[in-house]
Amino acid sequence: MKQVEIGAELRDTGKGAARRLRRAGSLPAVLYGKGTPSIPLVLDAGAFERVAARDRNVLLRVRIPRGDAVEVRNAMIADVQMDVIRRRPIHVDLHQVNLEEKIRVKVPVHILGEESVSARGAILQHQLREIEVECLPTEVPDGIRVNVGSLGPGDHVYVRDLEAPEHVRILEDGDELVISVLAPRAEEEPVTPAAEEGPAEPELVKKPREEGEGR
Amino acid sequence: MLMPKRVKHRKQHRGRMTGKAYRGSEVFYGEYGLQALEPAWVTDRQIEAARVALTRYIKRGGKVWIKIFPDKPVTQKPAETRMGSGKGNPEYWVAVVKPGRIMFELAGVTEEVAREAMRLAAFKLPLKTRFVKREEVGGEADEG
Repeated sequence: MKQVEIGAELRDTGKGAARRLRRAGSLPAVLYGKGTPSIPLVLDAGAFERVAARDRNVLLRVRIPRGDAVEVRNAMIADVQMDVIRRRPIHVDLHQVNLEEKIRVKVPVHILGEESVSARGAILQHQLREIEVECLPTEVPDGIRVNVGSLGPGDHVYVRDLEAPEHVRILEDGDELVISVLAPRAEEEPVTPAAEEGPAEPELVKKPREEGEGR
Repeated sequence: MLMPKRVKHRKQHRGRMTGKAYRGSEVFYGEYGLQALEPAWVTDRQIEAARVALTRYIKRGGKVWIKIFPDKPVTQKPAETRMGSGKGNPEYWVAVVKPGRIMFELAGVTEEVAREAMRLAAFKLPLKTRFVKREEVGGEADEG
């Protein structure tokens, strides 16, 4: 698993302060964990995007200045709030982890052999794109691999069919559907509404009126 | 055309379209999406026209998801009517779309096909849009 060092500074809380930081190219964050008070931090936005661009499951070594010394805390990315228009992070939650204690984390499902399915004209429909697993922070897998090369229309892959890497336990229900293979559907010709459907109105949901109500 | 099966009230106030869409702002089902960049009322006819444009272009193969639904009735008074005498009759239905909303999703086609299909669908819509891919940090703007 990828381990990355990232520098952080302490920050003031509040939306005014957070907006000033964002304008200056920084990224407000918070670090919290079991038995420790939460610490409001600020990260360099560019550095964070480089770290988290490919994979969200990164073990971060967060360097926090404490006077002349530097404190290092191990953390994982718990949540990233995004700006829906600019598609950039606006706030990050960092969850402090103990390297000796198992954690629950979601890992992506990696599909192998997708080309052979699409070459046959079938469509893969993802039902679960991430699988929750339990493992040590240092053993978080990049993803769970699923080979779909031999699947045809109507076939399914369930959680029970997945192979977990060593020291990793899958927490999802075995009957959960991960992938289904659909047969291609013919183009639906738009149905021209017969003589302009007209003023068809939906039915009204009416509450039964009690005697003597109103008036 | 799309419209609700049952409603509590026949007519609604117009309301405001402030803020951004926080729900439905990620590509969830498919691989590619068409994201709104400004607020608008999208009518049932516009949604249907965009759907037809999408399915015509991708022909066989591919799957389309429509992630907006016109659940707001819009009323109009008949032409050459004097003001007053109450609110007009419901004429059509609209979906209230805020910036950030993913309106359509596509899967099972190549990126070029998806881009072109979304470009054609965007012409049928009354707002600025952007083609987006799943889990893409940054994103790129095109079409208007």
